[in-house]
Amino acid sequence: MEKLNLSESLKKLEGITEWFNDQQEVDVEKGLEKVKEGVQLVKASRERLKEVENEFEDVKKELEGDKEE
Amino acid sequence: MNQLVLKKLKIWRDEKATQESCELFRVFQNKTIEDISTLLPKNKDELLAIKGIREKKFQKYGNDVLTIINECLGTEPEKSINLEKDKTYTVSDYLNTINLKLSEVGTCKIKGEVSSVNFKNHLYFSLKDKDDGSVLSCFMWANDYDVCGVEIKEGMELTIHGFPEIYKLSGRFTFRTKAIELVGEGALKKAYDELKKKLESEGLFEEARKKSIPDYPQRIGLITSRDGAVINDFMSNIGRFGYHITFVDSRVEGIMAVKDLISAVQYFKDKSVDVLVIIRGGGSLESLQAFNNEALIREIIKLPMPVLCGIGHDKDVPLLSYVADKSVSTPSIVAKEINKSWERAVDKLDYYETTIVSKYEGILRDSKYKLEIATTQMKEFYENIFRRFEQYQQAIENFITNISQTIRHEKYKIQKLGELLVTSFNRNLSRAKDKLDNFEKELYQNNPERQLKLGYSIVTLNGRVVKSASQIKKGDVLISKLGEGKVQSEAQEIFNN
Repeated sequence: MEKLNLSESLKKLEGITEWFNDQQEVDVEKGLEKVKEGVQLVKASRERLKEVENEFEDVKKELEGDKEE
Repeated sequence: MNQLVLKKLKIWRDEKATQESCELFRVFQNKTIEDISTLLPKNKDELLAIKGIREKKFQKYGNDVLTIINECLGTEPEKSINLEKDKTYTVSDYLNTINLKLSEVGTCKIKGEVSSVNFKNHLYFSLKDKDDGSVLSCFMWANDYDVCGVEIKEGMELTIHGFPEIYKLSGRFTFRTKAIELVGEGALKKAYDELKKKLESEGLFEEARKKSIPDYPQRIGLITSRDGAVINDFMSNIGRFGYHITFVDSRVEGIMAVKDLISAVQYFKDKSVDVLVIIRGGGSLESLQAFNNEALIREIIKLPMPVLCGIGHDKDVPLLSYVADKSVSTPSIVAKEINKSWERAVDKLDYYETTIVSKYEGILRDSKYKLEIATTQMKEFYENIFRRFEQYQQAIENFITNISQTIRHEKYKIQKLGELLVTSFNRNLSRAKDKLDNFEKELYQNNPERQLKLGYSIVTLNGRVVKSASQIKKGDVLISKLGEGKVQSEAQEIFNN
C-alpha cells in the first residue's frame, strides 16, 4: 500500500473515466473489468490519502558520506 | 579536543574548499576534523586510522594536516604563539607562526570605502577608513568574489568579512576577505535594480522557462534556517501525506548567508527531490541581500528540479523569487501549495468513483434496454407469424363456416322445396280429388244406366252399342238392355229414317 504511486493511480482512473466517456459501443464485459480496476484503484488511493506521518531528515552537510570512496 | 588545531583545520578546510570550488565536507567532514583535533595523529599511519581518511585523502591533504598539527602542538597556547628568542626561523616558519598568532584574532566584519581595485586571477583591493584615511589591504579568492554578488568599484562603501594574515608569497599583511556586502539602502537598491534588469533581459523571469511543480510531490528538499519561526510555520502547515522532507540548514541573513545557501542548493543538485523549497520570513532589502545574489540565482537556474520559493519581503521582491519556478509570499502558503494536489486528489477520487460507477450503471441500463428491445422485436416477429397463422386459420374457419352456412341454406332450401312440393302435391291431389268428384258427379249424371231408368234402352249387336239403324240387318238378333232386365229381339224390318 505504501508503494502506491498516487499520481499514476489517478492517471489510470482518469483514463478509465475517459474510456467510459468515449464508449460509443457498450461492452459490458470490458466495462466490468474497468470498473473492477477502478474500484481497486480508488480504494488503494483512498488508503494512500489517509494521514501518513512525514519523515524529516535533517542533513548536516558536512557530515555527508565521503563521496570519494 | 585541541581547540587550536580544530580552529586551524577549519580555516584551512575553508581555503581548500574555496580553491577547489567544492563543498566543505568534500575536503573533510566535521566529524573527521573533530577526530583529528582529538586524536592529534603524528604520522601517516595514525592519520589513516581516523575514519574518513584513506590513502587518496592522505595523498591530497595528509601533509597539510600533519603540518597544522605539528605547528599547533609545537607551540602550545602560552608559549606557542610567542616566538622563541634564541631560535632562528626560516622565513616560512616565521610567517607560519605569525599567521598562527594572527588566527587568534578570528574572523570579523570591517566597514570601509574601496580605494583601489585590482583583479589579477584573484581580487586585490584596499579599503580606506572614511574618517582618518587609514588603509587595509585585502585579498579575495576569485571563487569567493564570484559568489559575493558585488562588483566592487573604487569609492564603494563595503562591509567585508574575513580574517588577517600575511600572504607568504608577497610578505604583505592582508585581510583575507571571505565575503563582501554593500552598505546602505541606496547602493543595495542600485545593485538590485541592475541585476534585476540583467536577469530579466536574459529571459530568466519568463514563465515559459519555468518548471511546473509536479502533482503529489513526495520528496521535498527544504532550505531555510534551523532557527526562527519560519521552519515551524512550514512544518505545521505541511499536511500529513507521507512527505519525505530533506532539510538542509542554512543561514538566510547576513554576510555569510550566500555561501550557505549556495552550498545547500548544490547539495540538492544531484538529489532526487520532487520540489526544492526555499523559505525565509519577511525582511528589508538589506536583510534579504542573499536572495538577490547573482551566484545563488545562477545555481538555482541550473537545478533539475522545480524550486518553490516563499520569501517574505517589504517592497522589493527578492530576485530569487522572480527566478524560482513558483513563488508565494509566505512559508505557510508554500506548504499549502505543496498540499494542494494531494487535497485535490480526494475530490478527484470522489469524481472518478462516481463517474465510473454511474457510467457503468448506464452501460448496464443500456444493455438491459437493448435486450428488452431485442426481446420485444423477437416476440413481435413470432407474434406476427402466429398472427398470420391465426389469420389463415380464421380464413379457413370462415370458409368452413361459409360452406356450412351455404350447406345449411341449401338444406333449408331443399327442405323448403320439399315442403313446398308436399304442399303443392297435396293441393294438386285435393284438386284432382275435386276434379274426380266432379267427374264422378258428371259421370253419375251421364251414366247411361241412369238413362235406362228414365225409360231409355241400350241396343247392342254382338256386344256393341247400336247407334244407327244402318248397323242392323234384317234377321239380326238384338239385345236391348232396359232399366230392369234385357230383351232379345229379331230385326224384322229395317227403316233407315
